[in-house]
Amino acid sequence: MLSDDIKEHILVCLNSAPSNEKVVRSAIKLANKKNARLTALYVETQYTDKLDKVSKKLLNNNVKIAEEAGANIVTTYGDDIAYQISEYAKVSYITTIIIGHTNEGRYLKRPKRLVDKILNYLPDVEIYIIPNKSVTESKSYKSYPKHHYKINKKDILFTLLIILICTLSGFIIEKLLNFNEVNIVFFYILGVLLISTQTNGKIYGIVGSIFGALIYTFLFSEPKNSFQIAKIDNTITLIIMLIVAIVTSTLTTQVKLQANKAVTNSYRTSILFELNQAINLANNLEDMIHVAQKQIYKLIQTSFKFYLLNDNGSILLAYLCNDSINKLNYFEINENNQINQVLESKVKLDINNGSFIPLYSEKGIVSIIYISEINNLDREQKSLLTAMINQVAIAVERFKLNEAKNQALIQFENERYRLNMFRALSHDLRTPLTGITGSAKSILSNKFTENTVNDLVSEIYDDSIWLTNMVENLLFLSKLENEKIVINKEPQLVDEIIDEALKHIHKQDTNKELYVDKIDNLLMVNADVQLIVQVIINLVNNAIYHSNSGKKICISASSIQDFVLFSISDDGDGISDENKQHMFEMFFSLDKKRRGLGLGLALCKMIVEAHNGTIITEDNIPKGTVFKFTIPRVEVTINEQLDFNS
Amino acid sequence: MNNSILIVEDDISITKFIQATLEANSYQCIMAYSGEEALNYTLTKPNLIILDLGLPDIDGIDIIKKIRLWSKCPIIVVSARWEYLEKIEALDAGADDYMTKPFNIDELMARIRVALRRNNNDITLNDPIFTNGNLKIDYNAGTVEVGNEEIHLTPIEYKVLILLSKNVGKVLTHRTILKEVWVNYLESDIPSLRVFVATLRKKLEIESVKEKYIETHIGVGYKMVKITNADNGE
Repeated sequence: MLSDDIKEHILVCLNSAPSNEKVVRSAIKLANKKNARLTALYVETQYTDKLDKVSKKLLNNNVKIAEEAGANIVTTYGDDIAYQISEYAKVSYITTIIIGHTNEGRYLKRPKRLVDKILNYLPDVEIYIIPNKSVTESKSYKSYPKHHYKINKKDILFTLLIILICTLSGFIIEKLLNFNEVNIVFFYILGVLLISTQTNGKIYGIVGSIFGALIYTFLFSEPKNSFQIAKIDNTITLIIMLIVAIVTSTLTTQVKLQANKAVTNSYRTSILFELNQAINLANNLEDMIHVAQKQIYKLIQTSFKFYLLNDNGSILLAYLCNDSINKLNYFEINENNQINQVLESKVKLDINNGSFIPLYSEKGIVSIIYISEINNLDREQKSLLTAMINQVAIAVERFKLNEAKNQALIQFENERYRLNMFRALSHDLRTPLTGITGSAKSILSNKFTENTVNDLVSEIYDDSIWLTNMVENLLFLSKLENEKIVINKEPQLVDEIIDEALKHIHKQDTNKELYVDKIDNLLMVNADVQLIVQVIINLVNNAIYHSNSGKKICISASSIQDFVLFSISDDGDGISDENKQHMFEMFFSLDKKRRGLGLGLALCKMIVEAHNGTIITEDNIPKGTVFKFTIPRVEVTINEQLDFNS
Repeated sequence: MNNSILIVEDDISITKFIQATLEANSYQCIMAYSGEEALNYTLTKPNLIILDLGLPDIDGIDIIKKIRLWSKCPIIVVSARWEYLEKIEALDAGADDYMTKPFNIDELMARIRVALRRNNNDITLNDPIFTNGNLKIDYNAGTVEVGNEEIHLTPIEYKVLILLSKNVGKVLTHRTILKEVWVNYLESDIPSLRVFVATLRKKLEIESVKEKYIETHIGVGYKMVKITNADNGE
């Protein structure tokens, strides 16, 4: 009954109350009726471990009922049940929440009902409340939210010490200063206040106030050395003292609890914020997963595996994350089976100490995380982990959507770019063709002198060379486009690349001198040789045609860190800073007299960047321009003994 | 007479200018505008074939294979620049050399001369001593000299050099060299081959002689250049 196209998603909250079974059954009924997905959520709090046997059995029973009906069973961790429910509901696109009527609200300060809290967090979700009529049944649930404190020796000593000090002060006031004994009461009140604020728990304050009252009655109030009270006003004083003690104790305890909660909340917020920020800064899915893994590792401090899944459920990428993040290239059969199991059941899978936790998005499971030592995590860590995993799941989906969107955008850009290209092409191809046809026709129909014919023919030759270069660039562009930049990279010798490029440069057409610096003849780059050769051809041709007054063109290549730096320099007029910025743009042509599609440098940039290199242009010293680009270097190690076979 | 050349090319204007240039250099030309025609004309036993790979009817590679079944006639292939996989295939099928479009007619003439000469001198390749300019290889003694100076080569470098020398003037693809020199070769050995050839070349092309023996055909393979006084390489 679980299928992805179902839109409704019902969440039922599990707990250990006997009435919960009714809630679960109602949810199952509703899910069946609406043909909706059903998830049963249990929020583990610090009291879960303290549940009695009966409650545990009830809880397990409820889980079983939900499971049998085909519900997802999910556990989150946290003391604020409403918050946990609503957080889960948000990330899992829950449309309806079904919840039992709980018996809260009979404590000193009436807390908000769970339902009201959830509604606060999630105003848009439908909530069904299943009433719970049998009061007696709910007894086992009654003790549930009571706070448990351990008796602390330090606190006891502190309480006794304060009472002692109060009593001593009382003696001093009575015997030495002869003040009215009622003043002593204030010392006790002060003492009780101190006890309440400095100890953990109401109990010390209350015990302290009772002690104080007894000692006061016994030692100071008339008749002395007896628990009888003579004056009525003394009785009122004592009662007020008790009330003050109880009220202050309760208040301070609550303030402390709130403070604790604030601290954990702010820790939680800061961790989630950090993750969120890191995710937002990532440029692509893989980067995002990297940083997310780092953040998760920071929290749980134990190694885990992260599987990113394809839309069809196969593993796209897998990582093992411990101190560092390592890509996994193969999987054990077990591992694959377990992942398939998770995909099929759509539920967390526990194996030994670890578990495979699925990351849900709207479209289903996008990733799976495997934590081998999940039981070593404390509740707060687990709760945070759940929140982080939810965040990562959303981010994965967002990145996938973005990718699709970008794809569409690229397509649009390509269309626009093609249009531009055609416009520019039709104009710029026509110009040299007019020259060629004109000259040829002219030679055919006139009887020119040999000199004139030679002039015209060399014009034809120049124009055709120009056309050839341009067609070459166009073909490379279309190659890059059509093959979606699948580049055939291989280790290649740099001096062979430069030699090859020089073969395609028509040196005889220029009065410029071409120099190649001596290049280390074992220097190698990882490159698609056809493409890199074209980059050098374009840059050298650029220098030949556009460095008007220049005489010398220099080509050099040298190793810089992990790259080989190629540089092509001329001693021409140079390029203005403003034009440098636009040099590498499509259809940018500096020279208005000489036609040019402005494709060459744009193509260079495309090719260099497709090789993970960079290309820049700088001023040459003393004059002219230098084009520099980098291509990743490779070392080829050879072992002749092994390779040679005689 | 051994100067008849078969031009297989479907573009008439290209055929025309090749024909004009060849005839100006006193070669005899036979023109074929399709694969079918080409296979028919090979029966006239031309001394050399210039073959465009992009023919309309038959795949150029198939033509080479068919000719090679019965003829050792030199074949120079013409193809576009980025189709280097096609070039490799053509060379592996038995073509001797290739030209890249658009090509320089002077270069084509030089290649034709080399290929014809190579074909005529076939017998001399069985000589125990090979000389090419200042390079001298004694196959029996296993020694290599450049300008009377003995060069020390590693076993692989020597094997590569011998293979190239026995096919002087012919482009050998990376695959062919790997197959001959490495017995169990992998495509991934090509980068190592590049390094071997680079070191081999460094040893052979010494300052005092200034002759370049090994020519790199990037992405395709290597060729030993026939050094002659007439056209100084090519």
